[in-house]
Amino acid sequence: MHRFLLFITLAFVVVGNLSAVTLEEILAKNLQARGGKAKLEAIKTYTTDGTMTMAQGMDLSFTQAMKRPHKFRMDMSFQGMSMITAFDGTVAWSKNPMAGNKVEKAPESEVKRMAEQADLDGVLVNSKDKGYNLELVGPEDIDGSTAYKIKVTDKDNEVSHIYIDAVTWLEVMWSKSLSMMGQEADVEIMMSNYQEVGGVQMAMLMEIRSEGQTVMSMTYSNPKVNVPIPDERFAYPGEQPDAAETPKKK
Amino acid sequence: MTTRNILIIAMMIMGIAVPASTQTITSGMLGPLRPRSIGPAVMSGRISDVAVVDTAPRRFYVGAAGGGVWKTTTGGASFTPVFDDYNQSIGAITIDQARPDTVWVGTGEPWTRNSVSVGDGIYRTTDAGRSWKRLGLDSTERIAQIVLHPKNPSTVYVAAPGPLFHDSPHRGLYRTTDAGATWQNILPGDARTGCTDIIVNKKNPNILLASMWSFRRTGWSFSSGGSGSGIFRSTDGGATWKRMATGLPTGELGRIALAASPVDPQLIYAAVEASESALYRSTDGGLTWERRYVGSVVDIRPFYFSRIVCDPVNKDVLYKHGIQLFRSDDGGNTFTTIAQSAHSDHHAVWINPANPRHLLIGTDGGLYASDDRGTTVRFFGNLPISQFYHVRADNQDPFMVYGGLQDNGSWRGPSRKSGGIRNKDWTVVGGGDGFYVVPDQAEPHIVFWESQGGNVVRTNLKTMESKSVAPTPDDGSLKLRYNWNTPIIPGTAPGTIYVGSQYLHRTTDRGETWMRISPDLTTNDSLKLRQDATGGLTLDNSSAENHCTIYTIGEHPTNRSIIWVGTDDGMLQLTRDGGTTWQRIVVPDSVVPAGTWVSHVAPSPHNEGTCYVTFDGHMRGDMKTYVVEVSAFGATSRSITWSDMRGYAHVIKQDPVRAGLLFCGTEHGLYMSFDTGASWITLKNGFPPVAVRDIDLQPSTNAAVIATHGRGLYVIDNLDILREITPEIFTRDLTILRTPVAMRSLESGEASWFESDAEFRGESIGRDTKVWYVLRERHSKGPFTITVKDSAGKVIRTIPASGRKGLNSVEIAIRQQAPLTATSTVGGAFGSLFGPLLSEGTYTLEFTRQGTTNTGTLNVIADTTLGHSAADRAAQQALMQDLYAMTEELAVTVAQLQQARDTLQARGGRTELLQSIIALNAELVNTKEGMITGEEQVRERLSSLYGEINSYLGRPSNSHQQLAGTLQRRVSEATRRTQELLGGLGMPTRAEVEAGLRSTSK
Repeated sequence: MHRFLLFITLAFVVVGNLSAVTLEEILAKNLQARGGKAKLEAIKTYTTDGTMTMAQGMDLSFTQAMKRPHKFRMDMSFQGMSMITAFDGTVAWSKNPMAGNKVEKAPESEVKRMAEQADLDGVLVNSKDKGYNLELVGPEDIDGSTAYKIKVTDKDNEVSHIYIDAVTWLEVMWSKSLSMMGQEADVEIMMSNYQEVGGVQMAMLMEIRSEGQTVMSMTYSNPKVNVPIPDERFAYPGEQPDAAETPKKK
Repeated sequence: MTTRNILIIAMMIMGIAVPASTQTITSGMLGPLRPRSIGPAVMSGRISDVAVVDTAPRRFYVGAAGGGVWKTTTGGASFTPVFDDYNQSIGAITIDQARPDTVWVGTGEPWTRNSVSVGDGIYRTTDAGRSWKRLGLDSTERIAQIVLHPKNPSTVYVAAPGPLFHDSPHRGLYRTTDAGATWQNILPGDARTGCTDIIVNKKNPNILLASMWSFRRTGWSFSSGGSGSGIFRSTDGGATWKRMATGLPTGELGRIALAASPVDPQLIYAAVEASESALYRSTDGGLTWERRYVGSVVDIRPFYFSRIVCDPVNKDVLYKHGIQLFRSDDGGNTFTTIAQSAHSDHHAVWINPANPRHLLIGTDGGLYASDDRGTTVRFFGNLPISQFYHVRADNQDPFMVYGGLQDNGSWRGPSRKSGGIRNKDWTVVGGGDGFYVVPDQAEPHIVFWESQGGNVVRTNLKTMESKSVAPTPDDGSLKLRYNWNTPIIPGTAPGTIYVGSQYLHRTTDRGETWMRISPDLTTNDSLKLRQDATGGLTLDNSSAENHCTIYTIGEHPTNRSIIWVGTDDGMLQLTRDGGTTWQRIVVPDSVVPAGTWVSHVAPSPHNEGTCYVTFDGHMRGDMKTYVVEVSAFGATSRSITWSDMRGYAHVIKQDPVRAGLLFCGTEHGLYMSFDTGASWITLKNGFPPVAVRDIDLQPSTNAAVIATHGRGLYVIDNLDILREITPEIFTRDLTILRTPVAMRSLESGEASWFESDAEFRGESIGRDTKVWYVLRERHSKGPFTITVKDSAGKVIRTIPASGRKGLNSVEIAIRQQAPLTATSTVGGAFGSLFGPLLSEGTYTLEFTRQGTTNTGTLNVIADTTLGHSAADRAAQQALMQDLYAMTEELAVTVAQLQQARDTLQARGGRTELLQSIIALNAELVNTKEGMITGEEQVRERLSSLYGEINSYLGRPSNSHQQLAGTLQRRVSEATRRTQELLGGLGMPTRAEVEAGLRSTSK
């Protein structure tokens, strides 16, 4: 009986009530844990360096820049060459030295993905205005600890899931069933190594898992906010091939 | 229920979470421990149903008898399992064709063979299989058909034959009118009579036709038929029913297949099991019947093949399932055998309504498609739903696995293979139904296998010559009593094999001579020796009901005089003198009810007097899990069953190294214990709740091979990691598990070839070395890295650590960073994409997070199986380092040249110098534009050589050495000339350029 009482007391003190949390509360706690709306909105640009780690010890370094509204650019360095992937708010484009080094527009499906990527605030902030429908599925065991699973349905009826850690209230996982090479596979992105940048918690490690195995990870470093970046850096440069560009770093 | 469970439930009721500090180990905390699915799909497995989206026939669902639901959107070019969290025995799948994302799945296969599994109700998805809701009928155990009301999709009829092994009210024809929220049993049958087929009249959905079937199976008999069987008709939507008799046989009926022509709902075919089974036809919606055909097409195994499918266009064409597939083109008067190259035993046929030549055919051996009404068929080699009964691993490296399958013979295949284990990597060892396949310990190409009923055969896989070596009676009788699934168990002494009939037999000369080393160890109960009369209306003596037989044998791993034997009629027997005397071990009724089938005996490698035993009462209608530790040579027994275990138990194994580590397989999953059964976890992590029939532990590679009856074989590669898992290590911040040993090894040379999506490939093990550690809490904030350093403390590489709560594994490529590589106009220098493998030796691993550092070690050793001498390996490693340095030297030189070129071009003037710089650059790297220029300068030749040396771990050839010398001279010369050309230009120094390159390429 003593043990029972101890259990109950511990339970109240340590965790509190898991089942009674609503979606609104989770969203509020997540925003709070990230640093709050004001701090988030104060971020106008966000840049990082990073390393992409793949199987067999292949590392690629990159720089990444984001700017409101909806601008994104990643420059990946490979044997002295630079691969660019960018979105200027309307056009998603890329330039790949391995594929002729010409500027190429991305297909419509890619535009949608890039637009999501370019959203500095993330899906959970102002989700209704962005056309997302959110639904709390419930608590779930993610890698041994509890997270809240939120079902996200976008305006095209595509479904993904976001998981919020029940202790830190930060995003811990994003998952989606994707069609890859004709086969449907569940892809999971694990988010961790949060670091405060400009008053906001940013994930500095993203592990990409397929079928439960890590297939790639992205480590971010040297994060900076509100470094001025001209819009031209994101802008679609048009069809003309331009001179080989070395990655502009720092 | 344990005190702890009661506490947890109390807290759940009060809405309180269990505090973290009291947590026990869960499957989620062992996340990276993921059994590897190696299939195979070469023989695939039994299919019970197929459902296709009529308007988009590339989208379809396949229901496996024991392997869940598989979905394709590509016409079968690829499949995805979509039911992996639920019961894996599938009875029926029905798509709401008006809303094809809504699919109903009834669990529990209705083809009631001896090895059939047990379902747990009906499920529905409304998002094409992404998520499922369980909607009741939990106790029906078996669902044969689901039919939607043609106008109202919330009204659904479910034909449930119900439990096979016991009386039950949970059978009959069920109807929901609220999409599964509630159900009414509108045609209940009786305690042993359920519903198998249902027709809803498309024009007048109030008219229903149902067939009822009376049936029962025990361990020793099967009976089809009874007074409850028959065809019933309702004209008021199921409120009232009338038994149809006009034109049908009198007397007791058995299983009846019904099918209405899609062309004319009044035209109905019925295959009726009776004292004389026949095919009947009704042209008035089932009121009156005309006999059309009598013979083998309808005679054969009605319990297994009672299914008719009508052609969607031609009302005289129908297909009848059987050992073969039959088609009638004349309204059921005569039949032709079709799909003759397909596997035998047909259970599901779908006909494309828009093109009736196009069929999908589900058999005991997988799925086929036909484009010519079944004349020719194509096999789908990508459904790993194979149903193993047993598995055995040998001691080769990599080890081979051996196993037998339901109706799919005996096979051997590799446990790992470069590029994945493919269908072609498997060898068929023998035919029939396969069970135990046992390689000879000394010569693994000599293999013992069997077909059903104890037909033991020895085959030499080099010559493929086989010899029947089954024991024969030594008492003047003609026959021994062998189980369907007769145990063939190797002894610890070379050449020793045990086989069980009602007696235990032992050979020490590979089956040339057998010694009977026991009396009849069974109850020899004459009431249970009725296999000659089994079947009910249709005699069916296949040996599947042979009873009072030895079912499991276990010789003690260190004392071969100790042998435990279990029988299907509940006898547990022990000899401690190699078979001279036997002692019956009585497990108290409070632990296991008397007479319960002994499904597995596993003598403890740690204690001569202890044996772990599983019992399986399901054939007596007892679905409980029984896992027992028998100790002190049978003097004491205790239940080590966990209350959360699901399904009757098939197998238990104790780890030979860590006594506490147990593995248990049941009909619905795999369980592990770290404390000798005091607590258990359900192993999930990508492993579905499939029937686990056998487990073999492979000592030399620390692997466990799991034989599932529906999802093929799985391998757990890291028993050494599991041996270190204790509840205690989950309370420490960070615990690094065992020192990883990394072998300098390249995947074997077999080049991968262009493969289609349409072939299953079993998962192999990656090349990278895994580092394992345990964290108390999820790592959420701040950096967390693992740094690899050499013995001199030099950093080789830093990689991100994974921060799961519980067990983590991180792959560490045992390579240096890729070298700096010179930039050219186009294309990568792919040869130098990867760094060289680390040299043999000891390295340090530093785990750094939140200011704390934990240190582990990593040993890199040679792969001696490659056969290279130490001197040859050293030559490769030395040349590799030379090429690495050369590649980097060239990269810096070229960067200097290109920077100078760009600066001069910007400044203008000094044309001659600029031309010299451009010319030198063009000697060193490709400068032509285009995708396939064929150009090769120093950079490209160096990269190729680097790649060649980096992919062979022995001595480089003399040509390699010669070319390396030439390249070294060219690179050195280029460095010298660059210094000369750039002297006095005021460009950044060589060291500055190099530092710049390193900062952008990490």
